[in-house]
This record gives sequence, C-alpha cells and structure tokens, in this order.
Amino acid sequence: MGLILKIMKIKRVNLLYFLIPGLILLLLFVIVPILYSFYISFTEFKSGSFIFNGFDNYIKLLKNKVFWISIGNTFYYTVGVIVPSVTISLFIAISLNRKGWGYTTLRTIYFLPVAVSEAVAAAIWVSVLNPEVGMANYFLEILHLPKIGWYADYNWVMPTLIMVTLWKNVGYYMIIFLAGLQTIPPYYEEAAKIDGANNWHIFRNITLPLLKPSLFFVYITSILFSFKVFTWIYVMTQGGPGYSSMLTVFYIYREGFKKFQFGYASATSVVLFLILLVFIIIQLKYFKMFETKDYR
Amino acid sequence: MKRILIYSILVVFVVSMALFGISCKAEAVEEAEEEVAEVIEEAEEEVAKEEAGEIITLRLMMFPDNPPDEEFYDILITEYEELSPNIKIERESVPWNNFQEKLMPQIMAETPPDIARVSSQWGGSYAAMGALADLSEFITQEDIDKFQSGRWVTCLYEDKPFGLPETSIAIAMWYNKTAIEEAGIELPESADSAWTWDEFKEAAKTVQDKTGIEYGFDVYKSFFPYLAWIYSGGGQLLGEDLKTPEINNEKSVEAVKYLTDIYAEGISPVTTPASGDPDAAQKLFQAGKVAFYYSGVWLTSTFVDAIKDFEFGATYLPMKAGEDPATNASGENLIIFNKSEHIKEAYDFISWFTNKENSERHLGYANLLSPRLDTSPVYEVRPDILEVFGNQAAMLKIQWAKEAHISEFSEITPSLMDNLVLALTGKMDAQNAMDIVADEVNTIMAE
Repeated sequence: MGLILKIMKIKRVNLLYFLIPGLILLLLFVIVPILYSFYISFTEFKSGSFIFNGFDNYIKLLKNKVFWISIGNTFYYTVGVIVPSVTISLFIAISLNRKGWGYTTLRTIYFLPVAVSEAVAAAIWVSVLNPEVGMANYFLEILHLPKIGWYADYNWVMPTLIMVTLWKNVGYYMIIFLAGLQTIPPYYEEAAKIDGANNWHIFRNITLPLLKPSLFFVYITSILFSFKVFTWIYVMTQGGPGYSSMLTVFYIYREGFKKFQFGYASATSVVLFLILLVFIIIQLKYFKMFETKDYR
Repeated sequence: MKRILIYSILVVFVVSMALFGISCKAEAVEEAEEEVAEVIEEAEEEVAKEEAGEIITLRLMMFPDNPPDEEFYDILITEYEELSPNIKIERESVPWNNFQEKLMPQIMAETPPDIARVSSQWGGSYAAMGALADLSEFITQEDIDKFQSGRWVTCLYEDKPFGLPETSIAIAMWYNKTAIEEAGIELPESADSAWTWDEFKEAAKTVQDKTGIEYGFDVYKSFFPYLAWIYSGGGQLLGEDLKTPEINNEKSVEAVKYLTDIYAEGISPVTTPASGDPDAAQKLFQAGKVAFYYSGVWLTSTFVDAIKDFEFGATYLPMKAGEDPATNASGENLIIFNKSEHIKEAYDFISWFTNKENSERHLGYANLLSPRLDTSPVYEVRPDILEVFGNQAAMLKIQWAKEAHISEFSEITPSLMDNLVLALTGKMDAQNAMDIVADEVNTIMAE
C-alpha cells in the first residue's frame, strides 16, 4: 500500500490518466485492425469464412507481375513527388518570407489547393485534363501545340499524377517551411552578411541546416502521403491505362474490394507496410534526427 | 461630447441587435425543441411498436439507374407502406460504382440489409459466400414462368432462387441522328437485318468524312459492351461448362482485333479505353463528337436531359457476317439476405414490387426494360429508343447470361478489362492479351 501511494505521488502517473483515452482509441482503431490484417493475410476468404492457408498469399504475391509493377510505380511516383515538393515549396517559402500584403495574398493563393478536398480536386482535373474535350488541350491547340493524352496516355499518366499532387500539396509544405524560416533569428543572416557572405552562402550554411527539422518533416510526410496515395488513382486513372498508374494501395483496394481476395489484399498491405518501415528507418538514420548541433 | 454621443448610439444599436437576435434565437430554439420532441416521440412510438412486434422494418439498399428510377422507388415504397401499415422500408441509395464496397463489409460483418438491388452479375458471388436466403419455399413454377429465362437464371445459385429479376438492361447502338442524316446513312430496321461489322465500319467512316464529326464510333468502357462485341463475332468468355476459358479462341480474338483496328484507324478515340474515366465516351457523344456510341439503355433519361444540340436515337448492334445478332443483357435483381429476420416479409415486398402492374409503372417511368414476359411498360420518354433496346435484349442467349453470373465473375473482369485495354490501345497483341486472360481464368477456376 505504501509503495502504491509512493508511485501515485510520482507526477508522471498523472500524465497516464490523460493519455489513456487516446491510447484506447489508438488501440481500437489502429493497433487492433493492423493486427487483424496480419491475421487475415494468412487466410483465404471462401464461402463466407476466413480459412487459414499459411504463406500461400505471400507466395502468390511474390510471383505476381502486377504487384511488382505497382511497387515500381509507387517508387516512381514517390520520388517524382518528393524532390519537386521539397524544392518548389522551399523556393516559394523563401521567396514569400517577407512582409507585405502582396506576399500574404500570394501565400493564400498557394495554400488554396490544400483547402480543396482531394476527391473534388481529382474530379476537376479529370475534366480539365480530358484528352478530347478538356480545357488543357484546348489551350494547347490555341497555341498550336500538340494535344497531350494526360491521364489517358501511357507515357504521360505518371507525370500527370505527379503534377496534380504537387499542385495540391506544395502550399501545405510551403507553410511548414515558412514556419521554420520564421524561427531562424535574423541576426544570423545579418552577421553573415557583415562577414561578406552572399545569398547562396547564407542559404547553404545557415538557412538549410536550421531548417533541418522542417525538411525532415516535409520529407517524411511526403513519403508517407505518396505511398498511401489512392484518391487520385481512383478518380482519375483506375490504375490504367494498362497498369501504368497501378500503385500499390490501389492494387490492394482492387484485390480486396473488387475481387474479394481479402487475404491476398491483406498480405499485400503487410508487405507494403514492411517496405515503408524500412524506408522510414533509413531516412531517420540519414537525417540523424536525434543528433543536435549547436550552430551558434 | 460628439464622440461620446456617437459611441453611445453605437452601443445602444449593438445591444439592441444583440437582444433582438437573442429573442429570435430563443423563439427558433423553442420551435426547434418542439420539433425535436415530436420527432423523438414518434421514433419512440415506432421503437415501442417494433419491440412489441407491431412494426417490421426492412432495410433496402439500392443504386438508382437514373433520377426517375430513384423517384419511383420512393413512390412504390410509400404505396407499399400504406398497404402494409406494419411494414416500414428504410431505403439507402448508394452509387453503382461504390455499391459493392459498401455492401461487402456489411456482409462480412453479418449485418447486411434485408434486401438489396444488385446488378445481376454480383448475385452469384454473394450466393457462393452463403449470404443469400433460399427462396424456394416462396416461389412457384408459375412465378418463374413470368420472367425471361435469360434473366431468371441470374437469380439462381445451385438451382435455388435467391431473388427476383427487377429490370433488364441491354446494349445497343446510340447514334447522332443529325450527323447520320447529313451523311445520308440508312439505318437497319431490325436486329436480324443489322449491319455486318464491315458495313458498320463503312458507315462510321462515311459519317466522319462527310460531316467532319470527330469520331465515327466509341464504346462505353466496361466489360459489358466489349463482351457484347465479342459475342457478335461468335466468341465467348467461357465454354458451356462455365469453367473453360474461350476468350482466347479464334472468334473471340478476331473480335478484339477488329475493335483494335477501329481504334488504330482513328474511327474511335484511343483515349477512351485508356482513360480511367468510365464516362469518357459518353461525354464525347453528348458533346456531339461521336457518331455511334455503343452503350446501354440506362442512358435514355440522361441523354434526353443532357443532349440539346443534336437529335439522337438508337439502332441495332452490328454483327460479324454469318453470325447471330448479339447483345449483352443483364439487369438488376432484388435479392434477400439470409441474415434478415424477416425473410417472408422481405419476399412479400419484392414480389409486390416486381409484379406486373408495378413493373409496368416503374419501368415505364424510369425508361428501363422489363424482365417479365407479360409486361408492356408505357414509356413516356422516347418509346422508339426503348423499343430498339427491347428488341436487342431479346437476342440474348442463355449462355451469355450464365457466364456473367458465375461466382468467379468479379475476379475475372479486372484481368479481362486490363488486358482488353492493352490490346485495344495497341500495347499488346490481341492473342497474347486474351491468352493472359485465359490463364487467369484457369488459375481462378483451379482455386
């Protein structure tokens, strides 16, 4: 009893009382479904029941050409989104990191696509980029340029998806970078200028290192969003033409909800989870998030 | 002094507005509370009645074919509730594209609706899962004989009925009448005298050349019309045993090659099969850019509302010379789930809903075809078009209805569509593409 009272006196125990409701929700809506998905990945859905079938789903998965195409497409999409996301949004953030009503207006304009829901945005882009009657090709024709197949063209479908994703997300990452830029004390830049540093030196040696936490956040979130992308594919391409925009999450959806292969779809999601986990661990080590450096 | 006066007026104004707002709000709150109390009282009465066994609530999940269809559902439900005061029908409407995704989790959680309106090719999968009720005790041979045999088979699993056919859907050829007349094309008068493939291709090219219309022909991106085209060439998806693939036999492949050539020659836009938008071809037709559009009867109301710039009609599907006229026809069925606690009441409802009188009224209003042999819906809107689709639907062979109804059909169609697209867009040879589909069919059947 005395020991219990002693423990209860420890302040950290109070924190647990606040955390428990959130932990329960996390357990019920995240942990348990994930564990159930692991279980289902070793079963086959037949005659209304899940029947244990060992590693059959995983073996089938590793032999499936479409699965590997989807993994390749997912990596293509991820790299295609991350690099421009970080570069463009950082460039915009630096350019707009000034005071003035014009800059505020521009920041709002860049942020507007973020406020539109992804499904609505995708439906709008389907119309705008319609290869036969869309506005985009109409303007290309006016400029005497050749029409583009956009999401209905094997070569253009992935660049189109990357383009619309960038349009949607750059504003969000811009805000993250802006917040990061505004935490950098201005006297660093002033001191560097006094010492004769030009803009590039300031950016490389002061801004970029101090933006590391923001960079890491943008980098990791854009990887996670890219691996999980679904709405754009569902609304715009359905994984086609052929399999040229078949990304892994859409493949999982199709196997589970169109072909009712729930066990196989779960196995695919487990494999995707493991790939993503390895990817993130590598990024964590690369960024050395837990290492602090004093730049003063 | 002046400033004090202005500020005082402003304060008085703001306080008056606030007080006025509060009093209005109080009134509105009171009214809302009264309404809520009434609704709660009614709901409590109904729950009490239901618990006492006085009211039976049936959940009906459906997708509407078009707005008039959905409207008439509500009309019929209201009428039924008046006829049967102890029955309450709760209707849930879900778009066709999302229907299975919404229904499957309910089936797996063993909480499906009592009744669902489903596409006829879905019922087999649900029946194979053991989710559907056996309605043998309620249905007599006399009931069965009232329905077209090609539609009735889609309500059977292992010879046991699980639902009733509600509508029929057929594929035929929509056309831009303004462009066709300008080109001086004469259309076939009946399904038996329909054009051959070559005659049709010639007609489509002539319209393109003479009128400047962008495309001569386009197809709704779905297995439904593509299979109809394959049937029109004497091909099939499966053999008589409904297990052996025939999609890669000579006739099936020839049908796919023919369509591929049409796309390659620019008669059809290759972006349509490549697009992820299933309505891409429909949008082109509505925009007046396509002379002939291969799609289904469900578009009648949509086209009547949407197409104002040109006249349109429907004609019969072409077939390969020497082959029989073909179509793909399915429809919607009303099915009952075995988890329903009121199977008898659910059957009474669907039986009443699909009876001769209601079928004629409903389908006439919604511009849909009837699966019954004894009905003649009176179509208020474009009866000429419905006549063509009805005649085309009569060309359906039982084999085609059966193969679209097997429980593995949902597993086969994604591979079929993927490889058809690869073939039609010239990315893969038609024979290779159909061989891949055949391999997939064999793998699925072996499992």
